[in-house]
Amino acid sequence: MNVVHHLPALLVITPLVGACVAFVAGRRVAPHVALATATADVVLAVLFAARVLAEGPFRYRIGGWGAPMGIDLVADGMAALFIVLTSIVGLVVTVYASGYFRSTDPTAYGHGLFWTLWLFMWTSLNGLFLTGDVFNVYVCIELVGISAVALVTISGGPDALRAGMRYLFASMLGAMTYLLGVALLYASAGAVDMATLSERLVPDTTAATGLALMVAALVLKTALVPAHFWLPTAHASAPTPVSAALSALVVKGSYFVVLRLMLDVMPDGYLPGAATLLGVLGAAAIVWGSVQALVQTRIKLLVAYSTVAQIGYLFLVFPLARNGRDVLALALTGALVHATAHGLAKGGLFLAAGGLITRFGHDRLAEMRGAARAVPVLTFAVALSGVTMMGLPPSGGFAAKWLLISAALTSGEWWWAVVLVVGGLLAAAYMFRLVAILIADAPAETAPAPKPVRTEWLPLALTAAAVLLLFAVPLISDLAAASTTLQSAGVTP
Amino acid sequence: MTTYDVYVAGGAVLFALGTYGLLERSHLVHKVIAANFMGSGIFLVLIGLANRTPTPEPDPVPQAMVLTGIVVTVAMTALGLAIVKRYFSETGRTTLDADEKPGERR
Repeated sequence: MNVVHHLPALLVITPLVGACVAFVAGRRVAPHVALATATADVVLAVLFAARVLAEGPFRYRIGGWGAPMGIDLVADGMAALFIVLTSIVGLVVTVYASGYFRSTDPTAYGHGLFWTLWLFMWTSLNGLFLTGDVFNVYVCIELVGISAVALVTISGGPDALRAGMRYLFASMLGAMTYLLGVALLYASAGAVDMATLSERLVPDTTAATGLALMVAALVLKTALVPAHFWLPTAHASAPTPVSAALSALVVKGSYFVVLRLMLDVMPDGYLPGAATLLGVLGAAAIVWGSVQALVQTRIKLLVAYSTVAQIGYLFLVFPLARNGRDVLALALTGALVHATAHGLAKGGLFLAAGGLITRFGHDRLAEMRGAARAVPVLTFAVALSGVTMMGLPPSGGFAAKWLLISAALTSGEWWWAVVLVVGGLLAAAYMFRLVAILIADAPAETAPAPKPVRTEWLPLALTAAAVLLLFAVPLISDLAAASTTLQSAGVTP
Repeated sequence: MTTYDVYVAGGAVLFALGTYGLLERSHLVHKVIAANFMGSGIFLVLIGLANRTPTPEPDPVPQAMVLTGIVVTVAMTALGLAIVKRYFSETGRTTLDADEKPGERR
């Protein structure tokens, strides 16, 4: 069997097998199973990205059936980028979690199930990034939702359960609305395969209503303002490794599908106003999320509201994408760089916040003054994540903003550039406030470190990667060029 | 009205009822059941679609979607009920309202 040929299937099967083995392996062995699975997934993801870069987009027919009865996986540059991001953040989260759950009470409610649920979530995310049909998206997104909700509630405390319930209801509402949209779309076009849909789509009310419902449902799942109500509590009350995975990866999953639907499936001018509306909501998210982050008094809520703000940038690509293929290429590359930079930086920031909470024994910002003396590495990680979230050079966030601002100015729609600049200033305000508290000249009352914490270096590794991402921009640009979106728009790599 | 229209109209009514219940009812079990209403509504629409072919044989694709959808909905319902049960045993509450007194049952 030629392994390279079956990479798309292996990317789904590997974490699935790992999850099942971790379930039967028991508490002691499960972390090692997860670590081995995560390492294997990183290798597969890199091989996969290399193959996409070399060959361009390709389809993989599971079992050789082919659409419409079989399930086709679509391998392109966009999928490869998100799969590599998931594998890198996933590996770091796995290593962090093995330390995190060792230091907590081993008999706690659901902690033994973390490894299985986490690998199930990884499986569904990889499936979501690879899927080529809108019904399979529903299945994958439900599986991501189910494992994510279970992970939020894993500690079994009242706050986590309440946040998990709210997350579950938002998730159910989103999934059901999405599925109704798929039904309407199938009624009109008679297909669920994305490539077939983009050919068959005619401007009739049934198909347009279906697509509008699907996009609205995904906006709810991505927590774009005003549908963000469930995110801050869910991301803040989860155990730290879960918070990092949710903010860095899970919101990107549903966003990825919005990209596919808006840019690949719908022809230009379909659903008039939708692109502008998504851009305006994105701008509102940047302002509202940042203002909320500024006034939070608990560190994890601050980080979660920062996610609400950063999600906003991702949606600026839609109004910009309508301005010809050069602007589309700039804007899409910018959005992909931003998604990657935010995934790395926010994963690192949540892990750093978790480290601070462990050290102080609470999450109240006001009482964390002067933490830098006790935990210099974590403080440095927080500061580095701030660099990329503000968009300061040199960092991945800077490159993302630069590309998006160039796209806005080239298209003549300069007001989006204003939004990007204001967003950077607001991010500076809430990140400076956080860093100022940590480096304040005050004796910090930390709990004595129980033992040397090796996991301190993991958040730093992620945030440093977000900064160094600047040098990987040409690579992301090549991956964007190898996406079905830019290939069908006629942009040559 | 064809059979198809009846299924679609019935499905739409169920979906709307479910959406209302999920958003407006405060009892957590009601919310879980309401989400199942939404699901059943969509399944009715899909079953109606399957009968819309010119040939006597129904279209198998929507029926396959319904089967998959039922499996997913059962998993989600089970998870929802498990969380509601744990939440009730931890707090004695059946709603998410923070101001409701512990132990109060509705």
